[in-house]
Amino acid sequence: MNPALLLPVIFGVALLVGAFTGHVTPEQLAAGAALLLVPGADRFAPLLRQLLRPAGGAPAAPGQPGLLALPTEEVHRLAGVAYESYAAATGGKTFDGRPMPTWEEARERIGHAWAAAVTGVIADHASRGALLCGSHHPDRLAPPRPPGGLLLLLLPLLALGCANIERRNAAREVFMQAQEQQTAALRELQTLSAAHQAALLRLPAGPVAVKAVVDFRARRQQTVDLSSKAADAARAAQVELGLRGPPEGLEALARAAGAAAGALADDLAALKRYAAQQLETAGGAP
Amino acid sequence: MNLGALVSEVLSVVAGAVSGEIKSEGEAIARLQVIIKQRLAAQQTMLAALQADDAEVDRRLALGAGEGPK
Repeated sequence: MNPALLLPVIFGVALLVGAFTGHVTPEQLAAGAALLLVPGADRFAPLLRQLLRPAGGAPAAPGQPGLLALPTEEVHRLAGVAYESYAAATGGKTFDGRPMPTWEEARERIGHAWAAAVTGVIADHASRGALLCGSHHPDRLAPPRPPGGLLLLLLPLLALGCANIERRNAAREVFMQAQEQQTAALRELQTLSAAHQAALLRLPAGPVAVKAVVDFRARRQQTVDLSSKAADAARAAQVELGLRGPPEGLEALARAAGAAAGALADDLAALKRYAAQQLETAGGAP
Repeated sequence: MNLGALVSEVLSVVAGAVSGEIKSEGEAIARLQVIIKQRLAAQQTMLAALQADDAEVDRRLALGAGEGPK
C-alpha cells in the first residue's frame, strides 16, 4: 500500500467507527468524507512531512548562494577538492597547457574564485529539488505552500473536535435528567412524609403514636441523607460540567448522577413500604 | 467546480458544523447550570418543609398528650 495513503485510510476508518458507535454525527461524517474525497488527499502525509521539516532543508533558488548555510571553511575546503580534482583530470596542466601551481600556492590568488564556483554549483544543484545532505531526488516536486498544508491538517482536527462536543453534550443531558429525577423524588418524599405523619396523628394519642413518629423519622433520615449526598455531588460537579475538556470525565459524572438518582428512587420506594407496614402494624396494636 | 471552490465548500460545512456544535454546547452548559440550581433549591425546600411539618406534628402530639388518653 502506498504509505501516503495510510493517514487518509486511518482517518476514514476512524470516521466509520465513530459513526457506528454514535460518536460522529451524520454531518461530521459527511464533512470528513468530503475532506477525504478532495483531490490530492493522498498528498496529506507528504504535506505533513514538508510542514514538519526543519527550515534548513529548504531548497535554494538558482544563483542564490548560501541558503543551505555551509560554513565558510567547508566551502574553501570543497574549493580545494575541486581544484585538486581539476588538476588530476588535466594532469596538473592549465587550459593552455602550463603547469598548475599547488592549491596551497594558488589559494591566495584564485581561492576565492574556486570557492565562488563551488557555491554556484551547490546552489544550482539544490534549486533542482535535491538535498545536499540526503539522497538525490531530481524529480521531487516543489513542496506546496504551508497554508494549504495547514488547512488539510486543521480540517480533520476540527471534525474530531466536533465529536468531542457531541459526547460532552450527551453526558450533560444524562446528568440533567438525573437531577430532574432527583428533584421529583424530593417532592414525593415531602408528600409522603406529610401524609404519613398525618396518618400517624390519627392513631390513639399515647406512646405508640409517638414511637411510630420517631421511628418513621429515623427511617426517613436515610432517604434525606441520600438526597443530600447527591445534592453535594451535583454542586461539586457544576464546574467540571461547564468545561470543554475530554468527555470521559463528564461521562463519569453523568453515570454517577444517574446511579444516585436510581438509589434515591429505590430508597424512596422502600420508605413507602416501611410507612405502609408501619400503619398496618400500628393500626393492629392494642 | 474547481479545487478552491470545493475546499471552500468543505470548509464552510465544517465551520458550520463546528460553530453549531459550539453554540449548542454553550446552550447545554447554560441549561445545565439552571437545572443544578433547581436541584439544589429543591433540596433546601424539602429540608425546610420536613422541618416545618415535623414541628407541627410535635406540637399536635404534645397537645394530644396534654389532653390525656381518649
